[in-house]
Amino acid sequence: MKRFCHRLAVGSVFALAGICSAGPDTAVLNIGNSAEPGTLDPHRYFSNAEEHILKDLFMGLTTMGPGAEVLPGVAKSWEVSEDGLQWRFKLDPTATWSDGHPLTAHDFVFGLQRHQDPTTAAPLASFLYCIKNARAVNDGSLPPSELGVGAVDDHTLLIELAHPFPFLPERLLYPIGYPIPKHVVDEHADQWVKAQNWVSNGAYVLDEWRPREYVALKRNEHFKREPAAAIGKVRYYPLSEPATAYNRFVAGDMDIVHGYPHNLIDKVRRERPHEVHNVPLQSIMYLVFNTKKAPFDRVRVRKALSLAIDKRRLVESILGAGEQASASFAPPIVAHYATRIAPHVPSTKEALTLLESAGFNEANPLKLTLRYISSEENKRVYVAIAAMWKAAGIATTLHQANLATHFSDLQSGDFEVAQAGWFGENNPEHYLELLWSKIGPANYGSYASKEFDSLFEKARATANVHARVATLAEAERIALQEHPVIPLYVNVTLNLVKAHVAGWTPNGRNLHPVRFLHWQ
Amino acid sequence: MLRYVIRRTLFMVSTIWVVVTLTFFLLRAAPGGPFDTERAVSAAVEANLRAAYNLDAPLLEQYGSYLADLLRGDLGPSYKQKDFNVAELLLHGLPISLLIGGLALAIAVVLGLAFGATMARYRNRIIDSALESFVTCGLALPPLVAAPLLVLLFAVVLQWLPAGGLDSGWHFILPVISLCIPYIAAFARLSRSSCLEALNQPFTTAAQAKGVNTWRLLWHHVLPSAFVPVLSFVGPAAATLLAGSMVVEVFFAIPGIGHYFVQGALDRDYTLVLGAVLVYTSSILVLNFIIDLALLRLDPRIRLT
Amino acid sequence: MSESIKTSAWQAFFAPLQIKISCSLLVVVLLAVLIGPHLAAWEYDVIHWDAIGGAPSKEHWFGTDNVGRDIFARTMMGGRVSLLIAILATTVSFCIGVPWGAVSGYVGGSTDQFMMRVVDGMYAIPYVLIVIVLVVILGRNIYLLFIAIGAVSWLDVSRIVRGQALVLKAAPFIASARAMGLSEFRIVTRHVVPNVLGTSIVFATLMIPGVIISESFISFLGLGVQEPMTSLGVLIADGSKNIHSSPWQLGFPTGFLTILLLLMTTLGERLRRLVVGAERSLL
Repeated sequence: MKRFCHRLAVGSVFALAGICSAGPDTAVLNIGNSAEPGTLDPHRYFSNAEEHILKDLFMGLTTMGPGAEVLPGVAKSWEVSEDGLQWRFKLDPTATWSDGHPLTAHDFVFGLQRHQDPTTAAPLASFLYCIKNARAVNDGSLPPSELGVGAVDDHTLLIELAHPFPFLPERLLYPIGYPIPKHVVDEHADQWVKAQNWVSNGAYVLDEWRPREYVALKRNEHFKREPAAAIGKVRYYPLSEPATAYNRFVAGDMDIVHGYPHNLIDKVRRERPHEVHNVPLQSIMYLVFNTKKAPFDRVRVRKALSLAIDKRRLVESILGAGEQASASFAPPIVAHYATRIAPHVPSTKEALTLLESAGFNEANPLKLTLRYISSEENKRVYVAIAAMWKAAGIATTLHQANLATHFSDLQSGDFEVAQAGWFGENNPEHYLELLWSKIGPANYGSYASKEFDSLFEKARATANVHARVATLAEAERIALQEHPVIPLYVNVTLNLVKAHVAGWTPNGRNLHPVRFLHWQ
Repeated sequence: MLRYVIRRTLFMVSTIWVVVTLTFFLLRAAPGGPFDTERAVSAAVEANLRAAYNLDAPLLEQYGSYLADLLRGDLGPSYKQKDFNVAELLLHGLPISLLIGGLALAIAVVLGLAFGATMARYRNRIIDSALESFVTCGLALPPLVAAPLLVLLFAVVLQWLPAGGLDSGWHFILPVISLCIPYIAAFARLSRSSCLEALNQPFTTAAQAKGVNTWRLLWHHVLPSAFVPVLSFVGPAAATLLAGSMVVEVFFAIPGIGHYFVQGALDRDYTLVLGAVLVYTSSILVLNFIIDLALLRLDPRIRLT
Repeated sequence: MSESIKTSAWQAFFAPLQIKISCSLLVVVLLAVLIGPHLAAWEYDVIHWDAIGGAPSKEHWFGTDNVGRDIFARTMMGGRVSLLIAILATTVSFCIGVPWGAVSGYVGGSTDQFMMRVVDGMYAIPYVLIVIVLVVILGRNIYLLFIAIGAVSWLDVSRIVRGQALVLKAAPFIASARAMGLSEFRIVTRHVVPNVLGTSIVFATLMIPGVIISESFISFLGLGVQEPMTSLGVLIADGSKNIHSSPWQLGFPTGFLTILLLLMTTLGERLRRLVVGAERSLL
């Protein structure tokens, strides 16, 4: 009441000035997104913030359940050939676009071809290089029509792969696998993404996008799947600063936010036990060594640096939101996976001995520059790591840079030790492939091991999931003996969800399709 | 007069050209590009992206085509906000920035003049010293300091006002206040000295001797002449307001254009930064031009040079 | 005669209580940032694992930050870095601004016109952006930071110096120097520049707070000095992110900066009145 009176008093001043606030629209679900989306074109999609919105706007062949599990989407079922190379998807014949236009296998063919077409310049084109000829189409040496996708009939889609890939249904959850309304793109070209031209096939359609204010969605009346959207309108606000997200959640402006300041964890747990959801994310935060640069080309130096880090202390004292220290490079929480990496036992003493044997001592300490991406949380982690290394006689210079500079330095090999991270899928291959020498720039440290490569390539040629993952586990063991990276921890997402929003299910991808949510 | 206008316009155009050129090449000298992000893209993809935005052409050619587009009024696409072009983004953000910056400046001028006149009226008396200390404190409170303190007090502790966003008139209060404090102080100080100068003029002393009410005197004779130096400071003040508005926009999550300078430069969104610089530079130049024309009217002593 | 002017000048300077207080406080602050980091019980970069995000206590007067570092030590260190950057940046801006303004004012004519047009034009440049871009290009480096700030903040200096030079130009001793056949270069370097320095130094004390604010601003945007080194801007930026859980992380550095700015402004203001008279402004 007190607060209301003050608002009233100040409000009258502003009402006089002619700027008056609108009453809250209770029917709108307000969600704090981690950033401003760069695009709502699924093929040009790149960031997590975009995926949050796109998953409500479109439905792919497969789709995400409330717990981010893989469910049949537009495809009602699918069959895989014995060799794992031919995937036949049976589509829902009643599927339509939001303008009532029927949705057929041709839309998917168009979509997958457009995604690999070099003129689309899809940033994540490589995610579907498993499709036959995709790489050649993407680098322009083959026309898009040569891509290994085809419509057998209006409701049957055939995808041919270049190598077996049992995780394809999961891979198709990314927006890159979404269909595109060809009839709209033909008419409006690049402008098809504007709200006034918008057509999609998900539970929602784009209503309005005010740059850096919000992206507003409304229910797609042509969406026929169960459950249909119970909440009529959704707004995604770009709240990149966790403190702002928290303030606006507490003020009641937001119903869901995907981040609050790390150091408020205790306070939030105490004050909002029913609203806080700290959920492990399928992800790995790690340090990568430039294996081309001395002395980080030597296994014992890398091992010493790894031994000197007390990962448990890091996650418990410095982070403390439930982050999980990880010895393995594939996050220990992913499905199908039993890692063969022994638990990490830190030992400053052993690190000192190793460094001594590598020729480093008090008179000649190991000096290195540790690069990390500017952020409040990172600063804490990497300042702490530098302190742990200091205890092992290592002189660390911290170097922080913004995201663009950081990764451009990593890709050009201009670093010694650097922060990196990878997140997304619920399988080990998604992470372990970063150590493959042929993966390209994502293998920042230019790590190359013949043994790992041959095991990884063997796994890559295996259609059976269990055999494939078992080979991957062995490959990981081989690689981590050489410490090309120091896996640190599995990240946690810090979510706040108002009690009046029901149906929110914590999941490792931290994606929550709004059609599964409803008002309490 | 016409010659003066033409010369000023030429000066403005050449300044804008120099600024755009300088920014263009400075930005390109920065390491990294718009497509460096947390997920490393393959070489083919990188090549596709560069080709799509004509970033693979020689730098001078890119510069030439940027200028050519500019002459046609096309500010180019944004590399990061791919669904919008730079003009759309700036058109959306500019009114918000102008409103906040304009409100802050207007409040600063009005309050500054009021404080200054009061200080001059009660020269060397207790009110003068009290306001003087107040003004000195104001100078020491840049938005960077004021914004967190105001949020701490009014949004976190008292919970009277929202801490961020721009959903209603309420949301304007804290950003505008934190932005205008140092300018109130600067204008107050400036108008104090010019009011005093005017008060010491023979005509005012004569009027005072005749028993004219001092407030009346201030209002009718002193303030108009004190207004001239105040007005001429509005230009430089508006120019420095930018840094403050960046802080305020970041701090309060306000979707103005200040954000594009910082984030655009960090993201290497070249065209967006260039567009923002262009808008900013031309507004400052035009504002200064208008002020100079107004000064010409107000103060007959100023001659065209 | 000259003695009495001197005394009255000193009296005018020191008489008001306000000035005495601010001067002595400034000395205290300067001492604090110079020897404070050594006086503090802790080094500014030592991590206390058992006191992470701790409130002010007997052991840590200003509390600790989220990595368990003593905020008192960090505030003193940050103050030192901020002051250092400010002084160096001001020096850089003087190295550019004084010659520019002196030549422009003294030579006059079309040279003056041109040089001042350049300054006018540069006022329209969003200098903040230029600093940001320079920092992005050159990397985060404390030395480059002050060069960048200095290189864009010389405009005011050059204007003031020009104004002074215009006045000096008409002064009798310059005319006699010219009559004696001194070269123009010599007149500028030996007579104009030394004579405008007094005013310039006054202006410097007024400029330093501005540069501290610029530095804090750049640091606030995350482009400032590198960890574990710190500056007031870095501390404020960090503190504002922890406003809810540990307000002291914001309160102490902000308070320190406010006091520093207040003292510098008061002192500069008093010096200004002394040199150019109470009721005139410099610009």
